[in-house]
Amino acid sequence: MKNNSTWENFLKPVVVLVVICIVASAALAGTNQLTAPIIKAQEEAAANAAYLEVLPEADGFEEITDFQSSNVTKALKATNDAGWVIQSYGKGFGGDVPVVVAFDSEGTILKVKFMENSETAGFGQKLADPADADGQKLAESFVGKSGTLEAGDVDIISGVTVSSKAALAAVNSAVNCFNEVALGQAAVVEEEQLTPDQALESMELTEIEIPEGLTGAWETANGTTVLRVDSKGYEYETAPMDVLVEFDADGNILNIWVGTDGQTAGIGDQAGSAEFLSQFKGVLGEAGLDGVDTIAGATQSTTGVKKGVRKCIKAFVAMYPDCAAATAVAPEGGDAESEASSEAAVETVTLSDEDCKAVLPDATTFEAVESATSGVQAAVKADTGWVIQASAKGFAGQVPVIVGLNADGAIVGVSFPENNETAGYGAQLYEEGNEKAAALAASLVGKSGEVAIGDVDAISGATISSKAVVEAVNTALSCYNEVALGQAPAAEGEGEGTDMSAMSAEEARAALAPGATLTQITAPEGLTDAWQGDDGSYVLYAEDMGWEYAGKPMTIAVGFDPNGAITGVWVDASSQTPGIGDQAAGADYLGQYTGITDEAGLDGVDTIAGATQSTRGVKKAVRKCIQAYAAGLAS
Amino acid sequence: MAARLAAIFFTMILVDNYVLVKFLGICPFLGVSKKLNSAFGMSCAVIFVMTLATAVTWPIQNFLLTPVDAEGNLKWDLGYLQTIVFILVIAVLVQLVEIIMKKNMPPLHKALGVYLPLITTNCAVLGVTVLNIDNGYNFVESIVCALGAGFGFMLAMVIFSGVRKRLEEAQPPKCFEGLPITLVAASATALSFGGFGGLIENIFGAI
Amino acid sequence: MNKVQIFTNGLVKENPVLRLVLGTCPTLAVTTMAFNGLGMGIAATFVLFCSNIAISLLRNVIPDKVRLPAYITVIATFVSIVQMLVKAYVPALDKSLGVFLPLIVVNCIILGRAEMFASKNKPLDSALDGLGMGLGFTLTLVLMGSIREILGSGTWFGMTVIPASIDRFTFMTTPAGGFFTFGVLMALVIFIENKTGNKKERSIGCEGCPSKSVCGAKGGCE
Repeated sequence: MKNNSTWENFLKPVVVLVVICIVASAALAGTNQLTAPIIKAQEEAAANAAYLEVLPEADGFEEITDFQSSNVTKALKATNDAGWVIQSYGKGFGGDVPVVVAFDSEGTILKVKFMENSETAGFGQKLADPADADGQKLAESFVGKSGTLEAGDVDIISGVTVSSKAALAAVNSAVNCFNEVALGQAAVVEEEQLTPDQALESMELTEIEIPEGLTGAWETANGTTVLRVDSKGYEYETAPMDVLVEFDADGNILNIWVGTDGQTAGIGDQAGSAEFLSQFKGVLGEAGLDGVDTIAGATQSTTGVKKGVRKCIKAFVAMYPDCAAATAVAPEGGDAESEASSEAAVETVTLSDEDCKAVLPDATTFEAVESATSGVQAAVKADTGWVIQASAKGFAGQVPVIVGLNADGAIVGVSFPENNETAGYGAQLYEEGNEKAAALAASLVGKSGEVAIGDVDAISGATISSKAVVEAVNTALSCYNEVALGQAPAAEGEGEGTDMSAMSAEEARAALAPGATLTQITAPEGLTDAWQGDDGSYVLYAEDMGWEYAGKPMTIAVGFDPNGAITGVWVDASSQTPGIGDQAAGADYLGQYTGITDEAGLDGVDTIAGATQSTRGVKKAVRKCIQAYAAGLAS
Repeated sequence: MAARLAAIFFTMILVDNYVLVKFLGICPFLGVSKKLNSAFGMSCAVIFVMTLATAVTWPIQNFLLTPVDAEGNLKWDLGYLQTIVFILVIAVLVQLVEIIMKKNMPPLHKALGVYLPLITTNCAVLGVTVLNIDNGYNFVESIVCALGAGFGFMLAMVIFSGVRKRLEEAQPPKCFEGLPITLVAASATALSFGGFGGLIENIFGAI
Repeated sequence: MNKVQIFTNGLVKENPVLRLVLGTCPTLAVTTMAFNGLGMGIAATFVLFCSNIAISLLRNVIPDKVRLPAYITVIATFVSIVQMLVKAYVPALDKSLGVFLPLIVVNCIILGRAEMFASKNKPLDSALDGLGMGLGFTLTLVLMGSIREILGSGTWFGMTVIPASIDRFTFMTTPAGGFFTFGVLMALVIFIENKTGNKKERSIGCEGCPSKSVCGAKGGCE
């Protein structure tokens, strides 16, 4: 009886259930075997439908798998030679933006289709919506074009820049792949950026004592030191950036890796891009950081990386006080490695007759002369005019330009010697047969006196390098004034302020009153803080809201030398709109204040169009400081 | 990240309300909403079961049925077992919870426990677990989605019980008495929720 | 009841949707288009047919205690099979039914009939009952779907029946329209009932709920 009960009450139910489950699973597995291949075939047919949509003339596709071009998922050749279909993707706002591009056999784009993506609804999603006019317009603007395309070649959807640019990058990746598989050109492979964790894994490390403020410190088997720090970037970031720097024994930066997970996709994560980080390589000491440019539009994130590297350098110097980095100043020319980040005197060169003839064709005699104009590498007097090689700081280093001037000082010819700028960008200048470089050079011909960036055909996408060219040309023109007209040579640094944007508040204060010991004093009315130097200098602080929707005001610090002239202005514009309002903290803008002695001097200060509220706010604050200084502190 | 979670949460409550927009959980909705007390108790039970079910079924799907390796490739595909595994897990889970509740938390069992069996075979719970997988949410997002669905259910129930109270005094045509007029009232309630389309995106920006 | 009666029972007399008020969720959700209603109905009928037979065959084997989980397992198996078949052969239907295809497993009709009929009757009878109920379900779905589609989009099974120049009553295809149509349809049925004296007590409380026997509420829902 009992047995029965246990069987009835307990075992039987369980057994029955288990048997049912087994039978059920078997039935399901069987059906799955039957239907799975059919389902798969359907999914492929659906995918193929997309390919046929862009290249209807094809009667079938043959997949090519042997390619190395980055960011390409599939490369298909039409079996009847109607063309090629390549599926690629670009990094967008929320993830990948996939596209399918149809090429004819020569590489002209026949059709572009944007596939489903996870971009923002109403923004990047417009791309994939066949009913959306903007998305269609962008897709159509690719048709008929060939080769690598720029943002200006297609109809970027206004307000959807990041996703549109991602689509553009995707199409360019498809173009690269086409060039590789159809035309047999070399593949363009994007270097995979390692994250700090990945980089650490690849090294043989021994842990050493972690200096204060850092998150990790190691020595490698090669004798290099690796330091890690967390660095705050974008004010609304979800996590700080992870900065990892490798130093050699002297303190030169060998390598840098940055993790940007908490920054804004498509914007702040440029702080982890190869282009930005390459500037840090070879930097020696804090002074070397002066040559590193932040990226406009990603200012907070890139400045954050710079601050993190500065912390690492300081820690390194503290660990090894005798290293070269401790005593390094902005290096002079001649040191090949540190020249990449130098700002001061450039190395002189000798111009060959050939070089001169290239820019001044009808000259026959050449005689080298001396010039004291800073930035000039060589000056040659010719029978029909002058040939001057000058250089200015570009993205990754000096950008040299050889300018041929006629006897009246008008530009006759321009050539670009080799530089260290980024391949595909500023490096195009010295690329043989490069159309853009030729256009830039041609646009300079005929100019004289002083050239503005708006007067010439800058290379789109290589703005910094182009601006460097213009600066170098202006240097050459100033040199002409010196050697041909006998005017006084222009010295460097006039009107240019040191970039204090990467400095902390205390560092900036010290920079504004160099050499003085500062003590805090009662702030005059209207100001938020005031410091007095023992030499009679002052640093006064004021606040201004700047942009009307900024969450909090900007802090502005104005330094006055003992004579009452402004030594410089430091601004904390972190509350302003990144990429727009934070130009109010930029060296270009703030440099205008240096040397001003009274309110009248402010009339000459220009605000920045597009960042009006922020820059005007700084001006108002400086005015307050000047007024306060004049009212009570001027001795 | 937080914005995305908030967007999912509010979308589930307003724009994609499980009862009035997705039509899941109609039976309890129409059946239990007559009295405010039972409506509230039922919805609490629903929130609880939905969240618990999601917490259990999500790992099962992603680690047992269709696990992916580091590169995103499927290690093995048992996706076709999803329906049967999910419903059984939910049934067993609810049964277990009810037993535990009965033994250890009698007052809670009195309030919620009676509704638990009703929810087991309810479209809403199975629906939310399947939809989480379909939408490709990660674990946290799935939990937030389930919570949102549950609260949306509660919102609809509570609002509707108020509507039904008013209906009690109404005098519809004879053939509409009872269920039909309730359905028409539900139609009006659903209409009001229809106005939420586009609200969440524009408040929270990107999802 | 003889065999024919068993079959026709589910069509009108005990129509699962309009009389027994079972399976309301899919009724409201998939009837935006007549085709979807038809598809869902056929899928549910298939499951109902198979599960009724299976459960009837097993009715003496399954212990009472584990009745519900056993039924659910059997039903779920058939639902999964239907899912796979639909995905493979009619993918368009899979897309339009969406989550409601797997949700057939918790469709009260199927569980309810398993509990109320198949567990107590012979396989042949259960099969007929399943067919009849399923057909009744399908017919109702197609009816509702047609109404909503014709009024809401001007088409019927995809063919335009109302000239495009006449504005559509798009309210019908919204969720609110679903509730409305269902309510009016039911009112119509009740009206007919009153006229023919064939009244049926309706409630969506415990009566229609398949978990009636295991529920602890004991009438505490309404």
